[in-house]
Amino acid sequence: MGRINDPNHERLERLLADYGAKLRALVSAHGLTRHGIDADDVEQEVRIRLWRAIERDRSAAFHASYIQRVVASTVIDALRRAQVRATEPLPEDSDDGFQPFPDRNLGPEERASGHQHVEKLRSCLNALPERRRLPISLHLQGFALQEIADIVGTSAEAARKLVSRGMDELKDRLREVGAGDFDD
Amino acid sequence: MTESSLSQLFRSSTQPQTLSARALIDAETAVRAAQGRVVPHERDDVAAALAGSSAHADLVQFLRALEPASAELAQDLARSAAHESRERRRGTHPRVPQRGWQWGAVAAGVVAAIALFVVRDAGQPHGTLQAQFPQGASADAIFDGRLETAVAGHAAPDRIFQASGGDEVAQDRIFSARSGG
Repeated sequence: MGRINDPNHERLERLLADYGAKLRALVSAHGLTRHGIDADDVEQEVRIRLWRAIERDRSAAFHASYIQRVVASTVIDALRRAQVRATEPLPEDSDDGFQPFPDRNLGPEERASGHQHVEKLRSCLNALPERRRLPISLHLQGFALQEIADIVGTSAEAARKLVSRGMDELKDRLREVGAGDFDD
Repeated sequence: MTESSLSQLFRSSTQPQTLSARALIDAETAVRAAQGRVVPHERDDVAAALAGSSAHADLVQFLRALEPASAELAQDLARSAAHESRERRRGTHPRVPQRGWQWGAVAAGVVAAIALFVVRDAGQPHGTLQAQFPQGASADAIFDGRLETAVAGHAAPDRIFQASGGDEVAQDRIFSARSGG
């Protein structure tokens, strides 16, 4: 009971609550909830893990990378749990099922068309030279040029050229296979 | 179709990629990737995982976005720990002055007792002291003059500067007239 009235305890609670709120917002903003994880659960778990670490040693200095690792391991655990749940059989029209297009009002024909688009995209990507395929895939995953450069191990300028030329080539190939035109 | 919708299509197609099937990025690797510090020998696996799984990609991008908040929390926790440590130290300080007062009081008591004792002794008459230490019993042997009297009344002459001693005493040969000639 005395711990609850402890001003240091309250300050730590407040710090973790503030951090938890930011974390929760970012979990949702970065689409992690699409993978079946709950932002509130992640926030709670991270706060518990950090609190335990603080309780183990109140005077310990926590580096940002340590906090990041705690968050990363919590999210990875949550993703794994979500995937275990996802392997369980789901109803045919479940919202958690694979949807190439996020529009939930699509009918069966449009969904079939969407699957065809995915297959064409995959085949066109696989037809790209390997040195361009990876930067293009990362670009399509939403990574910025500098991030792609860091991941691939090249300069930002080289990454920009690889992405630019790779995207042009991919669009040409998609047009060739009748996957539609692209508005840049 | 736009590039954005193409991206959405691609991300949707890579969504079901299971983490375990992609030989996953562990927490440490994900944090390094978010910092743009991929270890060279892991580069191919990490790049393939991020390109082929939108869950990985989302995780790494999320971690990158979270970095400033984590750095801020780390600083706040360090400040909080320092503050708590200072408070703990300050919490022990009030006892020190208390002990100081206690020791001061004890020291003052001792000084007062000594002073009382000295004052009481100073108030006693000399007669009492004289009664306690009678003169005859142990008088000052150095200044009582008996030593000088004893030396002056000594029977034997000074043999060192004696010009002629008895038969058994050698004469002073250094100042002897015979030694010169």
